[in-house]
Amino acid sequence: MSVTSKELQAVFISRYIENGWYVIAGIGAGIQRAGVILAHLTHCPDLKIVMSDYFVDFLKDTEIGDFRSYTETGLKKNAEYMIPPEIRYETACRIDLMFAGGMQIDRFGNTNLIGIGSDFKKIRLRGAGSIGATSMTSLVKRYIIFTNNHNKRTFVEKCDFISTIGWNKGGADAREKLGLLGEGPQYVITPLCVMDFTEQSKELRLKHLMPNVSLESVMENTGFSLVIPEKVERMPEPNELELEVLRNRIDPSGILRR
Amino acid sequence: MFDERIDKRIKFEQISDLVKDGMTLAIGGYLTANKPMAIIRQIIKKGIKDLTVIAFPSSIELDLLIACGCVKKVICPYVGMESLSMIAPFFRMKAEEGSLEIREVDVAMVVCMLRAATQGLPFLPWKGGIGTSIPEINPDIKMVDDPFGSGKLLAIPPLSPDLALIHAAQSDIHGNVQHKGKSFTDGLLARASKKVIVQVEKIVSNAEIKFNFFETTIPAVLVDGILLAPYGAHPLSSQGYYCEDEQYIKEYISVANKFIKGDKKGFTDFAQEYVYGPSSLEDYLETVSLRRLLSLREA
Repeated sequence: MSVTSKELQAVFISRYIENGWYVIAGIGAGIQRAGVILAHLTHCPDLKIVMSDYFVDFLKDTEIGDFRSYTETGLKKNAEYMIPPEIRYETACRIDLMFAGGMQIDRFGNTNLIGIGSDFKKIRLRGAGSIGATSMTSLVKRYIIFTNNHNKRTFVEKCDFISTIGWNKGGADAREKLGLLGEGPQYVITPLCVMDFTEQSKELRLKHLMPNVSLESVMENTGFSLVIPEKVERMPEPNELELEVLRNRIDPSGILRR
Repeated sequence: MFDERIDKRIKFEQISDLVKDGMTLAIGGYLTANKPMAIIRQIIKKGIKDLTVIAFPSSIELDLLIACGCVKKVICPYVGMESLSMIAPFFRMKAEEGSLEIREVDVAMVVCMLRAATQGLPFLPWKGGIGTSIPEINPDIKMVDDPFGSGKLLAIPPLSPDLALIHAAQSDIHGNVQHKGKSFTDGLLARASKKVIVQVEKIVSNAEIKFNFFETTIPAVLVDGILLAPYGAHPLSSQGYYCEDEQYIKEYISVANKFIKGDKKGFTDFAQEYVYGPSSLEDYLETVSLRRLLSLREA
C-alpha cells in the first residue's frame, strides 16, 4: 500500500522532534500521537511524553494502543508519573513541543477555538473552547498547529475571536512585545500541506505539498495570500524503519491508512 | 463523654437542602471521568435553577444540567465528549441562542480563580491569554501592568464556589476521601469551596484510611458530606472501578442532536427513563441493567 498523507504527516512530526524533548501528545489526535511515538521508537529513546495526565514510555512495547480518550485507563501500564492539570502549568516553560488546533487560523498563526460570529453573547457557531491551549501555547518553547480542514472557512484573513495567540499582527518580535514566552508556532499541518512562517514578517508560507495536491488547490482553499517560496517541495518520504514501526507497532489498526 | 467523631454520611434526599437556586457549584472530575452523576440527576429532579457552574473540562454532566434548565452561567474551559462529540450539544445550542452566560476561560485560568480564593487574594496575575480575545470577552478578567515593568498581565479574580460536588473511590464516615488513580483537580476544588460533598463508590473504615493515609486526597477537614453512590459516576467513568459507557453517551448525543433539530421525543424519553423516572440510585442502576454495568468494569 502506498504511503498516505496522514502517515507522511506523522513522519514529518517525528523527524522534527529531538531526543530528550518534553512533548505533549494530543490524546484524541491520531496523527500527532503517532508522530510523537514514532520519534520515540525510532530516534528519541529519552523522549519525555505526556499523554492524558501521565508521563508515558512505550520503548519496549511491541504494539501500542489507539488511546482515544483522555480518561483512557489502558495508558496506565505505560505511565511513570501522574501530572495533574493544575501542576502541568508549573512545568509548562520546560515543554519543548505541543500541538494546537483551531476552527479558524489566520496568516500569523493566531487561532480560534471560541467560535464564529461577531457577537460573543449570541455566537453564530460555538466552538468547543480552548481547554488548556490558551495558556500552554504562551508558555511552551514551541508548538505546531494542526487541522483536519484546509479551506477558506478555516484559513481566514482574520479570526472572529482569538483563543491562542501566534504571531499576533506579525513580525519576529510580536510575541516578545506581548511578553509571551517561547518561540511560538513553528508549523501548520493540514490535509493539503505543511506551512511554516517567514523569518521576518512571520506570515504563513507554504513548505511541503501532500501527494496529489496542487499548488493551485492550496491557494484556492486559503482565505489569504499565502507566501509561496521559490521551490515548493513534496512531503519527505518515510524510510523503511519508520514505515515498519508506524504500521506494525504504532498503527496496526490502520487509522492513518483510512 | 465526647468520644465519637462526627459521621458525615448524608442521603440523596438531603441534596435538595444543600443545593439552592442561584448557587455557584463546582463540579469535580475531568472530561468523562469521575463526575458526580448521581448528585447531578438529583439536582435536575429537584428543578434547581440559575446555577453558576465552575468546572474543569466537562462533558455529559454539565450538558445535562444545561439541557434541563438548571444553569444560568458556565465558567468552564471545555464542554464536550472528545472524539464522540467535539462540543456538547445543549451547551452549543444555548450558546448560539444566547441564553447561556459563558465566561471564556482556559484550564489555567480556572486554576488561578480557585487558587486566588484559597489564598484570600484579590487576583492572581497570569501570562496566558495576553493578546487573545479572552480579556475582551470575559468581563471578570482585567489587564494590569506588572509593577516590576515586564508589561501587561491578566488579573484573574478569585472564585470560591458555594458547594463542590465530587466523585471519588472511597471515604470513611468522617470524610477522609481517597481516589484510586487520578484525582484530577478535585483537591483544589475542595480547598477553594465553602462546602464539599463527595459521593463515593465505597465507604471504608477509618482504620483502612489510616493504613493507607498517604493515599488520602481530600482530608476530612474540607469535607461536609459523604454520600454512598456505587456506580454513581455512570455513564461516565470512575477511576479504579469502571470505564465510561460509550453506548450510552452516543445515545445521548444522538437524541440531543435530534432534539435541537426539533425532534424532541427521543431526548424527552431519554430524560424520563434515566433522570426523572428512577426514584433512587438503585432504581437508576436497575434501569441501566446489571449486565451493562458489569461490562464496564476496568480491566
